[in-house]
Amino acid sequence: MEIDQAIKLQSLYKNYRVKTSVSLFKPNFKDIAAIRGVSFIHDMKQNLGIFGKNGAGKTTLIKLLTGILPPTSGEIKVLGFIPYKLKKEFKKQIGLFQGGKGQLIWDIPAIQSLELSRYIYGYSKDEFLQRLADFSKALDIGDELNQPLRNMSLGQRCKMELMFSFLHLPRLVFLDEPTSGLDIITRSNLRSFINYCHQQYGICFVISSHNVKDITDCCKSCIILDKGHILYQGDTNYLLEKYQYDIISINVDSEDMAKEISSKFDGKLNGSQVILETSSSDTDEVITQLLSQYNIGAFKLKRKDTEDIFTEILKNE
Amino acid sequence: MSSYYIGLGKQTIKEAMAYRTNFILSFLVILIPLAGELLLAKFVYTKGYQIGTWQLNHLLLYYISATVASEFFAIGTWWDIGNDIKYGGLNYHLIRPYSYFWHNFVVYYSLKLVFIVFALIIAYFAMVIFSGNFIPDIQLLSLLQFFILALIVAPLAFLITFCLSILTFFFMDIDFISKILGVLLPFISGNILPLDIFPATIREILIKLPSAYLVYYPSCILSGNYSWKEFSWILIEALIWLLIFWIFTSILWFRGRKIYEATG
Repeated sequence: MEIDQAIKLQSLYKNYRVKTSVSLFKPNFKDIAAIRGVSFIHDMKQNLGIFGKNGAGKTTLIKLLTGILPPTSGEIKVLGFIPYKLKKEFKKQIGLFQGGKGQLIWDIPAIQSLELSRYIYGYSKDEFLQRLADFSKALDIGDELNQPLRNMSLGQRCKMELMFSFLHLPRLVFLDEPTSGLDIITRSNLRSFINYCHQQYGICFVISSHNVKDITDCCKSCIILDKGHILYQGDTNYLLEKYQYDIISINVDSEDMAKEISSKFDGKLNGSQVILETSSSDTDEVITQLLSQYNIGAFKLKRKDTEDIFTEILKNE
Repeated sequence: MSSYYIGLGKQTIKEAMAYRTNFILSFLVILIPLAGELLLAKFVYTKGYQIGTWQLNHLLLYYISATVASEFFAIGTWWDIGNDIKYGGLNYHLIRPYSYFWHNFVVYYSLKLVFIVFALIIAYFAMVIFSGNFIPDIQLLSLLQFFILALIVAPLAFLITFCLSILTFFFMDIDFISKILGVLLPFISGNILPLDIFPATIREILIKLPSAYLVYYPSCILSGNYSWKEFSWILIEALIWLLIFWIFTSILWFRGRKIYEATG
């Protein structure tokens, strides 16, 4: 069923026209390609993460998916709709949060601003209060609901804005840099909240982020964008397993033994020290072999963190 | 969806009242020019001069009505819309199931509604002070005509404001429009002087411009008598302007959306 295909893109391009010189009579313009031939299909079952460097095209992709911008060429369907036609039925089924962009009224208590959601999407006050209570509990929000937004910290404001984005329980929510500028505790809370809403309410999230943990903690599926191209699309865990390497540093008594180990395990030599890079799934076996075949006193094991893996993929391209 | 616009109106009024001192003191902006106009008119008439064919009482009533009308049917560039387009705040509005035009219409007139209540109180006291009557000298027929015209002029005023504000799509900075309107509008709308006292050629142009329907005609209706036939023509012409601006705004919006950059 097509409706289960949350997102379907085919050879999508988006160019921006930017002014390259300011002149009273004849300013110059240049077309810049932000998205270049992106194609993929994503279903509603899993959250989708979009990862990439600054200027990779993440936010542009979100704007294309939500219908804020029309594509320059190519096909795009979201929940069975062409987004940039902005049909009312489509708008009712999506939510958007853009980190750093406020959407709530600044000067009145947050709860009054949040209540606008039920007027926009037409659900009852009981449903509103029930969802608000549930979301507040999950996000650890208390009396702040009765404070104006201007009296809140960045983290608290972010929680309110995030709640507002999907209090109406849409099928698909786009989060653009949801944890930008937040401390690690708030980031972790938000990630837990996103996972909770995915499980509890079946909301499918599309998350674009610089922060690798946002993707790895919340999205089973991901794409990596670079300069408007897709470098990777698929299972996040598969990506981590494929690129997950451990670094084993071994100090041995003689340089000869170091050479032998280096040659056998394809390592790097540094005097009497050997550095081996192994796929995480092979690490146990390599260590067992080393310990059984050589007289090794001590070794250091360092696992590459997920951020290193994503960085490496981007650097290699 | 109507419940959304009602809810939005309520929230906007609450927001407007959040800063009470600023809100109350901003009435000086209405009070000071009105007092100046009324005192000047009275001074001119006590010296034996007359402005056009206007009797003093009618002229005073005209100025008071013009003050109320120019508050309620004000046009200009609206900072909120310009900023939404320039800095990408429009993104959120585009993806929600309501009309951006009507959303802003409600916010605009909810803010005006609060303001207009106070403006009417000021107008009433000004009328009592200058005419000496506690019951304003306004015919019921004039009041009825004023309210009927207001139903056309309120959307027209907002449509013009919306139209000017979405020029941000094309120019990014539209401060110049506010500046030009700030200088021109008080004259061409009939806020400073009734339009019928201008020389014939200028008068004929000015009374056909949309600005005349915002201040001059509503004020004339309140301060004088128009037959239903005369009133019907005013209404039809206002409707034609409404239609023209509706078409023009739709074209601008459609084209503007195509070049919208959705910054941020």
